[in-house]
Amino acid sequence: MPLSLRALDTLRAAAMLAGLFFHAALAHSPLVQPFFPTADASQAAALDLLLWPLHLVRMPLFFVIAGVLAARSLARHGMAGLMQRRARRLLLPLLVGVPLLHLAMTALIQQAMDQVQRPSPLLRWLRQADELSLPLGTGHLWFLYYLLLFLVLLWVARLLLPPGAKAWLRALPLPVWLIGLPLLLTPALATVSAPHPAPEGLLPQFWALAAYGAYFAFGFLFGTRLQQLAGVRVLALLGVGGGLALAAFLALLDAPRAQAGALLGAVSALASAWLTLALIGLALRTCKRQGPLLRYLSEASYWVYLVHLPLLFALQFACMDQPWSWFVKLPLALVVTLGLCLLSYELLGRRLLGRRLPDQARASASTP
Amino acid sequence: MSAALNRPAIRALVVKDWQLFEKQLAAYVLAGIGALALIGHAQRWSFYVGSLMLIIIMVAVACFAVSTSLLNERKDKTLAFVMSLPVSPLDFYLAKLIGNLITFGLPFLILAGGAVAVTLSTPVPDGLITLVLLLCAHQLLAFCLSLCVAMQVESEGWNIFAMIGSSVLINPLMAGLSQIPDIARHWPTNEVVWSWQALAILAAQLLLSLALLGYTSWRHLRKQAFY
Amino acid sequence: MTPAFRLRGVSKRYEPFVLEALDLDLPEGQIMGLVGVNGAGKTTLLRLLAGLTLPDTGSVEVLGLAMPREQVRVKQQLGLASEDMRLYGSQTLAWHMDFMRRFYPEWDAAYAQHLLRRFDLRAEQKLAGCSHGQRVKALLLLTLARRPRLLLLDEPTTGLDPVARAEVLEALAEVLLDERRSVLFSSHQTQEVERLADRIGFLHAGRLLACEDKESYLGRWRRLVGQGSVDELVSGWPEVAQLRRSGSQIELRVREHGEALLQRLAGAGLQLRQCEPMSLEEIFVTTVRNESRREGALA
Repeated sequence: MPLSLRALDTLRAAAMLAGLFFHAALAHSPLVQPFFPTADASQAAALDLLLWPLHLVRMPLFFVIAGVLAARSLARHGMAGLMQRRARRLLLPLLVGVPLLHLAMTALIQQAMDQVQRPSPLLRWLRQADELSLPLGTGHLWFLYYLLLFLVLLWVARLLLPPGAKAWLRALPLPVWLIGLPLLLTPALATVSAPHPAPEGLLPQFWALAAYGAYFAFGFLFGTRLQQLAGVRVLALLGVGGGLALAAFLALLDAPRAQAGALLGAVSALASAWLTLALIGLALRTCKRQGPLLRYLSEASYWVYLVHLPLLFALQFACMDQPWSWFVKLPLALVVTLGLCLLSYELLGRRLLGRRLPDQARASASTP
Repeated sequence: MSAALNRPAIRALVVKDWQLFEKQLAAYVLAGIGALALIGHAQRWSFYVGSLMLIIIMVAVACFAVSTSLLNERKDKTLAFVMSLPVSPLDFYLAKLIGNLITFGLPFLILAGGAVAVTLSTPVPDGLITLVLLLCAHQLLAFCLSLCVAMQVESEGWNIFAMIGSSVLINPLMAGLSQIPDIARHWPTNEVVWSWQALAILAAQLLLSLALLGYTSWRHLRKQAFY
Repeated sequence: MTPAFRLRGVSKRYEPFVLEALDLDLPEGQIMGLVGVNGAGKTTLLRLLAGLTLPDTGSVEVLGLAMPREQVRVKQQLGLASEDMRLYGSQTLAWHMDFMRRFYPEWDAAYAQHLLRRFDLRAEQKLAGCSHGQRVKALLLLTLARRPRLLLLDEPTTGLDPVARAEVLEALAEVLLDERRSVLFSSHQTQEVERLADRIGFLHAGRLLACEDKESYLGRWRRLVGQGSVDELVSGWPEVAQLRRSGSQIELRVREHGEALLQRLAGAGLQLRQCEPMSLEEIFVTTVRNESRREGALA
C-alpha cells in the first residue's frame, strides 16, 4: 500500500529530524546539564517537558518503521536480497562512520576543553583528568548497529523457529501487542537509568535488544495491519492512556536516576509504547500525500541524521561563550546545522548513499 | 585438465553447503550475540560466562563447519552424488574451500571483532589485545589445519584428532605466551604494545595458515580425477 | 555417428582388485546391460566411464570426448546413478530439483513433474523420511529429468518393489524412444537385462567375458539334453561350458552352438533328445561357475 508507506516514510523523516532538534536542545536542558558536553549556561526547564516525551517515542518509531520495511523487503527480495541491501545502507555507514565520528568528537571536545571560557560541568570535569580518552562506542550511530543486530536475529529466528510458532506470532492481534509491548519494555526500562540512555557501547546490551527489538518485531509482524492503528477508537485509547502515562512519567522524573525502578520504568514503558503507536496511527490517518519538499527532506533525512552531531557540537561549542539566550542559540544551531547538513547532502551524501535525483524519486516514495 | 574456472558450478556448490549448514550457523550466531551481550552486562559472573561461551563457539564453528561440509559428505555418501554433477575436482575443491572460509570466517570475524571490542571498551586492560589477537590467530590456524586434513585424509579418526588437538593447544599457547616477558609484561596495562616476539608469533601463525591452504590447493590442482 | 562410449585397452588396479585391459563399445541409441557378481568390477567400470577415476592404461572416450580430461563437458550430458550415491537427507526433493537446475540448463521441469506423479513421490518430503525405494526413485528422477544423452545406472531396480520396478523400467524404456540416447545399466536381475538390453556385457573378476549383441549372444548358447556314453574329454571342449550326468541322462551346456558341434557330439556318443535356448540367468550362472573352476584349477 503505497499510501501507508508514504506516511511511514514521512514519519521516519520526522523522527530523524526530531533527533536533530533533540540533540540541539539537550544543551539547554536542566535535567542533563551535569552530563552533557555542550550544556549551555542558558537553560530552559520548559524544554524538558518537550524533550523527554520526544525521547520516549523518537527511536521506537524508527525501529517500528524499520521492521515494517524489513518485512516488505523480505517479501520482495528474499533474505539474501534484504541482507545485501541493508549491508550497503547500514553496515557501510556504520563501519565508516564510527571511527570518523570518534575522531571528530575527540578533536572537538579536546578543542572545547582548551578554548571555551564558560565550559559545561562535564567539560570542567574533563579538564581535571590527565588526558582525554573518550570510550570507544558507536555514538549516535548506535541505531545502525542495533538494526543490523535485529536483521541478523531475524535471519536466526526464521531458521530456528518452528513453523507453528511463526504463524502464531504473525497472527497476534492488536490488543495482545498493546498489552504485551509495555510488559516487555517495563523490565528493560526499569533496570537502566532514567531518562533511558542511548546504548552506545560496542557490546550489545540486553535491555536495548529487548526494548528496541520488541518495536522492530512489532513492525515486522504487524506491518501489514498497521491501518488498524488509524481507527478513531484506537487512537483515542492510545492517546489518552499514553498521555496519562506520560504525565505520570514527567511528574516522577524530577532528577536523573541511576536506575529508573519499577514504577518509573512501567510508566515510561506504557507512555513510550502507546504514544509511538498513536503517532503511527495518526500519521496513517493524516498523511495523504507527500509534497516535493517533504519528499526531499525524507530522502535527505538519513544523511542529515548521520552527519549532524559533530557539526552541531562544533557550532554549540563555538557559541558557548556568547551571552545569548537559548531562545537565540537553539534556533541558530538548528538552522545552521540543518543548512550545512543539507549542503553536504547535495555535494556528497546523495552520491554516497545512492539516492536518486528528485524526478526519479517519483518512481517510489520509499524504497527500503 | 581444464584450468578454466566453472564459476556458476562453484557458486551453486557453495550455496548448497551454506544451505546445509545454515541452521547450525544460526544457532552459533545466536549464542555468539548472547555471549557478547553477557560480557556487555558488565558483571563479574556474566563476563566469565560470556568469554567462555565465545571461545567455545569459535571452536565449535570451526569444527562443525569442516565436519559438515567434508566429513559428513563422505560418511553420508553424498559425495558420490556431487561428483556425478558436471564439476571437476578443482571446482569441487574450490567450492569447499570458499564455502568453509565463509561459514567459518563470518562468525570468526564477528567474534574476533567482539573480543577486540570487549578488550577496548570494558575495564579489561587494553594491553590484553595482543593476547586476544594471538589466540584468535591460533583459532584461524587450527581451522586451516582441520580443513587441510579433512581435504586430504578420509579417516574420520585423524580428522577429529586434528580438530580437537589443534584447538586444545590453546592452553599451552597461553601458558607459553605468558612465559615471554616482553609480551606478558604489557597485559595488565592499558598500553597496547606489539613486541617483536608477539609480531613474530602472529606472523608465523598467519603465514602457516596461508601455507596450509596453499599446500592443499597445490595438491588439488594436480588432481585430474576424483578417485 | 559417435559411439556413446568407447574403451580401448582400459585397465585399473585397486589392490587387490584388478580390472584387466578391456575393450568396450556402445553405439549411440543402444542399451547395454552389464551383468556380473558383486566385486566383478561394475562400479569401477562406471567410474571410469564417468571420468571419476583415471585408467592405468588405455583410453576412455565418452560421447566422443576424451575422459577424464573433458569430464565436465561429458557430465553435462551424462546421467549417473549408482548404488553408493545418497541424496541429502535433511533436504526435500524440491530442494534437490532446484539444486540440479543450477547445473543443468537442459533440466526439463515438465518431465520432472511427470516423473513425480509417475513415481508417486512428494516434492516437499524430506528425504530422510523416505523409504529406500522412494529414495532410489528420487535419484532416478533427478537423473532422468535432465535428459542425459548417456545414462549410466548401477543396479537401478535393486530394492524396489514390483510396482516401482515396473515404473522405473517403463521410464527407462521411454528414454530409449529417443534414438540419440544410450543407456548402460548393470544389474543382477538378468530378466530385466534380457528384456531391455540390445547389447550384453559380462563382467567377472575384472575380466570382460563377453560384449556383444544380445540376440547373437543368446543365439550361441544352448542346453542339450540327451543320452549315451559320452567321454569326459567332451567337457574339456572349448565350446562346451558344462557337462552333467544324471543317471543315464546327459546335460550339456554349450556356448558355440552350431550344426558342426552337434555332429561332433553325435560322433562322441551323444544321442540328442532336446536342444533348448538358455535364459540369460542360466548362462550367467554357468559362466560364473566355469570361471571359478578355471581359477581354482590355475591357483
